[in-house]
Amino acid sequence: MTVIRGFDVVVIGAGPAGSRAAAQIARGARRVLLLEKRPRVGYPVRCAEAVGPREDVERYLPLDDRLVSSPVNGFLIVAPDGTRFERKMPGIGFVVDRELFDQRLAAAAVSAGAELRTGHQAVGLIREGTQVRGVRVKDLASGSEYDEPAAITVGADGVESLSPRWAGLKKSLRPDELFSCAEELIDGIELPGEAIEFHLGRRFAPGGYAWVFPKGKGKANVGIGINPLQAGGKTAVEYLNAFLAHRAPGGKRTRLVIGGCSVARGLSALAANGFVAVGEAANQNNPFSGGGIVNALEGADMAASAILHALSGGSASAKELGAYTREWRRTVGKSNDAFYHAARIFYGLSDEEMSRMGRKLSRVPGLFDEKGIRPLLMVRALVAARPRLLVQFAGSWLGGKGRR
Amino acid sequence: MNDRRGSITVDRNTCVVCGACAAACPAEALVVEGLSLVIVPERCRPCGIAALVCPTGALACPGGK
Repeated sequence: MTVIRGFDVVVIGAGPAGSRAAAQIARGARRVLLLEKRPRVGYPVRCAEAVGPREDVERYLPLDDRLVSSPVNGFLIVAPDGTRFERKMPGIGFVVDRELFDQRLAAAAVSAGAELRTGHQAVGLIREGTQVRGVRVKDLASGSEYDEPAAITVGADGVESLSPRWAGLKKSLRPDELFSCAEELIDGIELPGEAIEFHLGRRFAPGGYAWVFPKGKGKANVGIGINPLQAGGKTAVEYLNAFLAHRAPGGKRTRLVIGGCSVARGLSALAANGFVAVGEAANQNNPFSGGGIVNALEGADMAASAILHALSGGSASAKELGAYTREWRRTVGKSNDAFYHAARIFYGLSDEEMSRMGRKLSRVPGLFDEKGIRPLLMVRALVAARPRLLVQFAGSWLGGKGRR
Repeated sequence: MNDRRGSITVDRNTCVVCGACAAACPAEALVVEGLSLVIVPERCRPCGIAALVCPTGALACPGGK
């Protein structure tokens, strides 16, 4: 059954960014279509599932025991030389059931009035000159294509997104702008409490890190993310196998999660004429950790409010929608920039340098606040630990400037 | 110019359709469609980037590496 009617906004992708944006726009009494290429929202999971403090998420979605697999009450960092840094930090975060989380967010969008179409994929943008006027959609079940016109299109299509590229906001990710990741949900692993673990060094994760995130009931997500340019020709799965043999021998593998994770610099513009990008599609996740769920939700709210404003003013120009870019860059985008530069230094260190730096970092007062590591203090400490880094740090700013 | 030494190939038994290659491919030669990876050989340069970033080693590229 096809009802001919126009949408004010079409959102591409029903992950956290897309579903939240769709919900907020629908709550503003606008007609919203939410497209999801997969047959089932949230499945398969492509995420390590660690999130920051509960209250950061509860601003967007109420949490219950089904959504929270495990609380996180501290962390353990293991340096390449085996030195361990532990800190108890009650309430620092939790590990989420990401499939259910995405489904709840999509359901909230539908409750707010958005129309959700799963199995329907954006295959191009409709354009009039430089203005994006909606989306060309493919119904994957039938193979047929149709146009879905809209005043504004939201690209929330994740790491593999093409829509921000079609809109001219983004290029493909360079190999060193993504972590190549592999993870197993392990049943039967020894866990010293409800801490998240990070293991550094080239043996397990060259140019990235290995992690253990508790999932409750003796289970944990055990994974690695590597910089493909530093991997010496080995795949993420090969590094995962080595890490599992070390950290979870005898554990039962119950779910393989594979994916690329953007650690790219933030986009200089998040809006084009009739188009905005949000979430990982817009490089909004943290370029140091790769984490992006809360960032996506924050970005979605900023995008939605700029979109509602633009629609009420009757203009969907890049200039009008640019309020969203400015808001983002003034807030989360700013700390992401610091994380980006810290990451370029940190993940380029040799094992020996990283171990030495870890010992210094562990003594920096105030490096961690209740939400985790503070990026500017980390950069300062990295530089203080090795003065030559000043030169590299300056270089990373200069070299990065204007690249994207 | 596009020297056609062949395009990238995928081992369907190893590929889990994670989309890392699609994120990195400069030519949109690899596209995740629903739950499948679609390769568009005529767009492939082939440069080797997709094979480099693939977490599972499912991609083989005659021109890359």
